[in-house]
Formats: sequence, structure tokens, C-alpha cells
Amino acid sequence: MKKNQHFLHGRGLSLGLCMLGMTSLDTAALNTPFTGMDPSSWRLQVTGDYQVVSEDDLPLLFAGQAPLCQSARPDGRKLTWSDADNNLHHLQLSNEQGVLRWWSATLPQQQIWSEGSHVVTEFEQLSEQLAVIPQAVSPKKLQLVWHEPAAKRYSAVDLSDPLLPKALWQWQPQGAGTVQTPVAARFDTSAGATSMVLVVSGSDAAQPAFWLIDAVSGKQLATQQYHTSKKTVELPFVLQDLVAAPAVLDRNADGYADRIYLVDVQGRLVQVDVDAQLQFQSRVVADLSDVGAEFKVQLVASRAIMPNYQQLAVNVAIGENQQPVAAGAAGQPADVVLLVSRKNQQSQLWALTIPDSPAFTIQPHHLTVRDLQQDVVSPALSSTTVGWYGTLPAAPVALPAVLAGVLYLPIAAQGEHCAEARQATQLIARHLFQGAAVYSDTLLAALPKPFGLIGAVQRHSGELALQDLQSGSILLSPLQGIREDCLFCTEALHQNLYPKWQRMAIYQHESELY
Amino acid sequence: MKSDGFVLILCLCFIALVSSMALSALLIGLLSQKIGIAGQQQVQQQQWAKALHLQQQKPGVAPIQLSDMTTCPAQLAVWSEPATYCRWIELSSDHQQLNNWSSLMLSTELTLPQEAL
Repeated sequence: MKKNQHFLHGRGLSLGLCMLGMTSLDTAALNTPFTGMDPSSWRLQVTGDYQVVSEDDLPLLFAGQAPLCQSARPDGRKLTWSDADNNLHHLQLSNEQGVLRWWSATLPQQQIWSEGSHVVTEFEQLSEQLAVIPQAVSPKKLQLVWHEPAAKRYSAVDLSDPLLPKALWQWQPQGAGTVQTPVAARFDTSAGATSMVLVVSGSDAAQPAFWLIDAVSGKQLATQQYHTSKKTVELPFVLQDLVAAPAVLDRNADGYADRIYLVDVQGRLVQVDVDAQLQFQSRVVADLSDVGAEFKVQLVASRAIMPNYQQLAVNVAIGENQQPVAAGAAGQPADVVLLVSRKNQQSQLWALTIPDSPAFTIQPHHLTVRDLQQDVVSPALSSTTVGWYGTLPAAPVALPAVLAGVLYLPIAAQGEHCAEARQATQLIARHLFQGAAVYSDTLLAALPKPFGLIGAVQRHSGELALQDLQSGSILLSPLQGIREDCLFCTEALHQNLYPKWQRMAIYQHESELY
Repeated sequence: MKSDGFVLILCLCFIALVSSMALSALLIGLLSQKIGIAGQQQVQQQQWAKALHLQQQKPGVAPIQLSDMTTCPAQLAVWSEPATYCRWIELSSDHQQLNNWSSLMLSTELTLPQEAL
């Protein structure tokens, strides 16, 4: 309760930030202490508007509530956006137990109180706990959707004026279990481009399902439910609860999502293709249920070009594994899906590469086991391998991030909830397709510790570096990126390497002389 | 005497006929050779122009920018964060010749934040 009082009267709070994507300049700005202002609290009224909650009512509202972190969660969201007058705003967002809070350098902590009686919900690890609605038109607005576990609903707010939040809509799924982190995406439908929110049914739902909700109106646009006991020809698998927040992909790079990845709690990875009529075609592309792990962490998916193993195999055969070949070795496009699971108090990291026309459902025995505890000499994966996995030495602090083909994952968290407790002491850095170590053990052991979330930054010397987004300190410089001309080759990344030019087509002009 | 003159005229006509046939055959052969060489030269010119164009890896002073992309297409060196920015560029070789090649290029640039001072 003491913590609550301090949190509610947050004078002089300094913000410890380690949001994904935050620059060190932003960090400096946001670390500025508040001066002379009290936090403002808002509460949804039956009229659909927010009303300011007086300070006297706050202790009553927070009675019995588990203490919230004094600063924003490091795996929350930080964003910079410009309003209609092109004024830049830096906001740091947090959703804990359904209480949406936001901070900036110029205003004190603001919050929207979640209605409903307090329930103890299972902590959803690593995800951002909210979704920022992408805006395509100007003037730009800042719209957020977050889930409120106590009220079992999703709420949307317009935070274009951070001091005057406007309630947009609330939506409660029918037959859902727990509410989980929403995911925002833009889909190109027959009715035009639409911003949507994708939510899954959570734990203890009547049926595993997901919904697409119109981000502007809050109306349900489409849903897909899966059988819990009956296998069908279209989907010959029985799915369990969908708890992990899904991932969306844009396969044709047109700016609109057209594929969704879901994973059930036992590790069945479902690929859902979405067409313009919002009809879904689902298939289970991986079944990792044999390992007996729990998959509750948000998925990370990227579109990638696979290495051309046939081309590379020639070079391996002639003993030129580390020598570049003349021609580019890029192969077919594929989806790369990263999963984090938990089993017997240990976390596992999975990197699956799913080709566009998968010939089989990926099982654990199709994958190569990588030792993530130490840097051992890694044999090359064969062309038939569809990914790798390994047991992490400690729990991850953040979702895995891929920078220039190298997977980074800060691990060794001290705690689970608050910013001050979520400090990493070790960094996993692996080749995305091979799972091999990219940096030497010595280099990784020499990292300044502890560190929070990480991100790439461009140094004044032109080198690209890995930065601790919380403290602004440089962790690794230069960053390494994978190369396409051999299996394990990497190159030091420098701004001189960019822009990169790739010839996609060549054609002959018709001359006027003809 | 009359028959000798007739034979002489016949011989002259025959010689003229054979000469014209030989000359036309030579001309036709020369022409066909020229035609054949012209085809070869055209193919060689095309290949040379294409080779020159392929050597041109980057756009010149004023490349034709076709369009910006909302998201970058799939790459081998994947960035899971939106750290890259892509656009389509038309790259044309500027040779004053019959065979002019153009390429559709994908330019990938970085949009990373700068290190703080």
C-alpha cells in the first residue's frame, strides 16, 4: 500500500526507461524528474466518456490491488509521434493489470483506471501489453488498445492529447477466457485498407479462437474458432488454449498484413492466411507439443530469404566453407517464427523457418538442437533442417530481436515485473538460420552489465552498434550481420554498406532508331 | 568467214554470261557475309551493352525513383524491427547506341537512430 501511495503521488519520480526502439536522447529527456504536478487518473463512465478521478477516491480504487511498478515496464511501449501541427511527442506507455499509464518529460504520470473487481491474473511475460493503432492518414492521431483483465474486455483510447484522453470503444469477446495482449495490424480488405486489432481467446476459453476488430469503431469484423475435440480435414489437429499474443506478416510487402501466426499453449503453430474478404485458411505448420513445454510468450515473425543451401553445399564440398562464392546464394522466401517456451523452470528458444509451400508439419525431431549455454563449434545445418532450438541458460528479459540476420536475446532476469528488476546479465546472439554463435564468448562476457532492452544504433564513426536502451551505453560495436555467400560468414556493419542495391529485374529499351 | 564471226560472237556472249554470273555470285556471297556479320555484330553489341549495364551497380547522378515501399521485401539479413527503408529505382545505362538496358533496382537504406553525443 505504501508503494501505491508513492506511485499515486508520484512527485519526483524518475523514469527508468528501457523501451524497445528508444533512442538515448529520448532516454535523457524522459529521465527528467517530474516537477510540481500530481498524476491524473481517469475512469470510464456509463456515458462512454472518461471522468477525472479525484485524489481522495484513488486509495479506495486501489485498495486490494497488487502494487504497480513505480515506473513503466521495460517491455512496454515507448513511441515518438507527431501531431497535426508536427509537434513531436515522446510517450512511454504501460499496461499493468489493465491500468493504462503513460508518461512523458513534460507531464506527470497519467492513468486510466480499469473497472471491475480485482482479479489476480497470470502475468503475461515479455509482451507490450497494448497495441498502438497504425495511422495512415494525417493529421496523425495516437490511438491505443489495451486489455483489462478485471473487466475481461479490450478498451481503446485516443491519446492525441495526453492530458485529455478520449474513450473510443470497449469490446468484450464472447466465449473467451482471459484477455491477452492485442496486436494491431492493417489489412487490405474488399472494403479498403482497415486498421484492425487481433486478439486471441486466452486461457480457459470455450473454444480456441481469434477475433479481428475494427480499430476505429470497435466492431467485430471476423472471427475464427477451432474445434477442441474434433479434427477436420482442413485442420487435422486439436488446438488448446491460445494464450500467446499472435504475430502478423506482410508477405508481399504491400504494407498490409496477410498472414497470422498463432501458437497454442502446447506448441502447435497455426499459420492463417487472410484474404480480402477476411476469410481464413488455417493450417498447423509446426507441432512442438511433444516437448511438453508451455508456449505463452508473444510470437515474433519475420519474412526472410532463406540461404541457398544447394549453392552453399557446393562450396562446402570443395572445402571453401568460409570463402565467398561469386554468385549470390540467396534462395527461396520463407517465414521465420521465433518462439519462447517454458518447461521445468527453464526457457527454450525456437527459431523455425517455414517455407512458402511446406511439405510437412514441423516436429521437434526435424529441428537441430543448439547448445545456447556456451559457444561450441556448431555443425552446419543441412538443407532439410527447418530451424533450431535450444535451452536458455536463464529466463529472457525481452522478446527476441533480429538485427541483420542475427538473433539477440537478453537473458538472466532478476525478477518478472518492474523495470528495476528486469535487468539482463547475459546476451544470446546467434545466427538466425544456423543457430551458431556470432560473437566470441570473450566479447559477450565483457559486456557492461546489467543492461536492459537492446536496439541497434548508428555511431558517429559510421559503425552500427548494439545499445542498451535504458542507459544509452554501447554494448557491442560494430554489429555483425550475416552474409549470403557462406554458411557462417558475418560482416561488420557500417553505414558505408548502405544503401544496398539489389537488381530485381533487367530489361532492354526499344530504341527510336528501330 | 561468216561462221568464224558467228563463233566469235558466241564466245564473247558466253564469256559475258559467265562473267556476269561469277560477278553476281561474288556479290551475293559478299552480301550474305555482310548480313551474317551484321547479325553477329548486333548480338555482340547487345552483350557488350548488357555487360556494361550489369557492371553499373549503383544509379548515376539522377536515378529515376519509381516509388517508396511501405515495408521492405524479404531479405536474408533480416531486421525484425522496422530499421530499413526500401524504394524502387530505375537504373538506365546511358549509352548512345541501339541496345539500351535498364534495371529495376531495390534500394535498402537504414533508418537507425544516431548515437547520443
